[in-house]
Amino acid sequence: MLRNGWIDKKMSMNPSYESKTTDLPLGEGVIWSLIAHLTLGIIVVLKSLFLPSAPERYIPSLKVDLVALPDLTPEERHNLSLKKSKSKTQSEKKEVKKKAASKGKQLIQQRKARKTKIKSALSRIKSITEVQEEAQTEDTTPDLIKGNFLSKGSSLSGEAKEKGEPTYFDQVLERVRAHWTLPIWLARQQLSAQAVIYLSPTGDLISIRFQKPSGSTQFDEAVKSSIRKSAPFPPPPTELAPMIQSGGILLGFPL
Amino acid sequence: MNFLNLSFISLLAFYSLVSPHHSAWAKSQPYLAVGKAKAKKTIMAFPSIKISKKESGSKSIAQAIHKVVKNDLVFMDLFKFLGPEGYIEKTEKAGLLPDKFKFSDWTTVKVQILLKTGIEVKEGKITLNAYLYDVEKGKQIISKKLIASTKDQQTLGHTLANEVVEALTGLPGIFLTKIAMACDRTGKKEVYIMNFDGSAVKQITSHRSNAFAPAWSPDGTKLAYSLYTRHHKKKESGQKITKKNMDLYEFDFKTRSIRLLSNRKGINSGAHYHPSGKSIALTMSFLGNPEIFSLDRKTRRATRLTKSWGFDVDPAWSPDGKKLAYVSSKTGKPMIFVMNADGSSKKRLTYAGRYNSTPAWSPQSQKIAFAGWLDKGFDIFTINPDGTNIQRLTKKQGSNEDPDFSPDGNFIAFSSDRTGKRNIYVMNVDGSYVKRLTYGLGNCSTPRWSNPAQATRPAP
Repeated sequence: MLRNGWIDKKMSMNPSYESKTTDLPLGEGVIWSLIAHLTLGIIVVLKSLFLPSAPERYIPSLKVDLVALPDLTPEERHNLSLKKSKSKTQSEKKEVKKKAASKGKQLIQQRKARKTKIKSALSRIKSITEVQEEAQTEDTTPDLIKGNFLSKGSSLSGEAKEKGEPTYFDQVLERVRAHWTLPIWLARQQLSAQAVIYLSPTGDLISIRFQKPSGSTQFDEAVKSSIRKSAPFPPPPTELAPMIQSGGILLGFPL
Repeated sequence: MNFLNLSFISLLAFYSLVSPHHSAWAKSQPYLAVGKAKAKKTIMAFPSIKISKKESGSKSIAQAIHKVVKNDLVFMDLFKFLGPEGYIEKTEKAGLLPDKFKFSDWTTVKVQILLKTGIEVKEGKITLNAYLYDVEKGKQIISKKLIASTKDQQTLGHTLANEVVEALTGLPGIFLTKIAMACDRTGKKEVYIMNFDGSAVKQITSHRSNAFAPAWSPDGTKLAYSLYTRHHKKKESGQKITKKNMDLYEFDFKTRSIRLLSNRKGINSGAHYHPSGKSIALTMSFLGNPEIFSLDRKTRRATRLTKSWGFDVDPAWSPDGKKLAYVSSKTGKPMIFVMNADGSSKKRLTYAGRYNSTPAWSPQSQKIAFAGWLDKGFDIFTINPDGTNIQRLTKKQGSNEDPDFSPDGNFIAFSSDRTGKRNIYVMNVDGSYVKRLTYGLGNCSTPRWSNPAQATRPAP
């Protein structure tokens, strides 16, 4: 009972302790502070009720390089980023060509009459693949470059910052980006559109609604086709599914 | 006090309900920015022109027109052509209309746009029928019937190419536009014009003095240019004094006459017509210091637009005529500025580089091109009119100056001394695909592209 005794001792040393706190009046400042807090609170509540905030942008973090006249031309920047991917596609192409050639040889040996036909078919394949070769992409994400360019920072964003793994929205974004192409003349114009996509719980595209059309039918068509080509999307996580089905996901092309 | 506490707790609870992060209340969807699209060339097929009613010589005419149209479309650098060896369809057998050919013959070879044409040559007249198809949708984009005499087969080809480009891109075709410039082939600088691709060069002035810095009037019927002339003055003692001066003249293509616009003392140079055609912005130095003025074409009255200690030169009107880009050295190094048409609200655009000069506005107002000195000599840069997104377009290829946009905004003409002599070149707005236009004209500078509106006008 040593502890009790100690408390008793303290209490006894300070007999008026309890009564003092109850007697303490609220200072005028405290009252004003409460009033101020309350009004501020009401304002915030009312504002969020009547003036809903703009949708929050979901973008990776960005890094801005040195501010100066840019050093590299767009072509050079393009070549920088191409270097890595080029070697891979080249080896693939060679394989395809080899296969086609050997197949052709066998057939020629079998039937000489078909020789010319195959030749023309091969040259057609060749010309088609040539024309199909990826036309240049104008925009590339640069490495560190002089001039005020935005370059890719660490691509952690939103909730992923804490988790460190891609979210569902990252997957959606990746799919749409892979199919987002424009003819050069449209890419050169600074057009933009925003579209809402509604997805079923299985990830199928239910509908597309334009929130902000670009004003160019060609551009809007390209937006639609890039979304359609991206479908079906990966099925949304169960906690998001109802929201994505009814409220949709807002996509900005490019913003 | 208890009440207050309670109200606070309930408020906090309410807060968390209405906060924008709660989707049920805010009703805003998650927003994903997809970013810039990959730009891809459009795959096109243009089979040889079908000839109906074989008249002698019609085959060579068909081939010549096909060549003109294809060269024009290749010049655009927007399309990739699938060669005839890639066709499935037999061009001789298939017709021009969708009931006479199969779209599937083209979709299987991944063609996106198909141009089918046929001509009939009769008594020196060419009738050309052209059909442009969107193969992926199986739809006709346009159909055109063009008639011309056999002499004008070139113009016919260019007209068809213009129609095709305009139908696809929504921007005017440039295949009948001209470029004005100053060249010193004769030893003195004179003003010349040529076609967009460097063909059909014509000398306009022959002053045997230096004529330079040409500017097209918006309707393409006039060319303003500066000229070194001699001003004669009599002194009180009766002694004659001759002084060189830089005057501004205007050449009229219809009357083939010239008219003096300004012979104020000093510089009268760097003319640029207002899009209305009523006034001309230029640099004048009769007050001592080069400043920018707006000169009324009719009354020849000048209105001062800039007032600074440094020099203000190279005015360039925005396509809507409401703004003027120019170069000023008032902050030290010459930099690009933008001001309103009346000289108000001057705004600095560039902050970097040693010397930025000769701004030019893109016809769609999206970009301003200029020549900037970064390392060795000038290079061409573009910048958005709000000062963002600076891009370098030329590098390590001599000194590149005087950028000017094509009327469709797809190209930039400029002068470069990369071969030793200064010549006119054209490149895409992103700096790719540079083509040389001038050969054997001495040193050429200040290319200026005409509007497409004047293209139909007969050549001067």
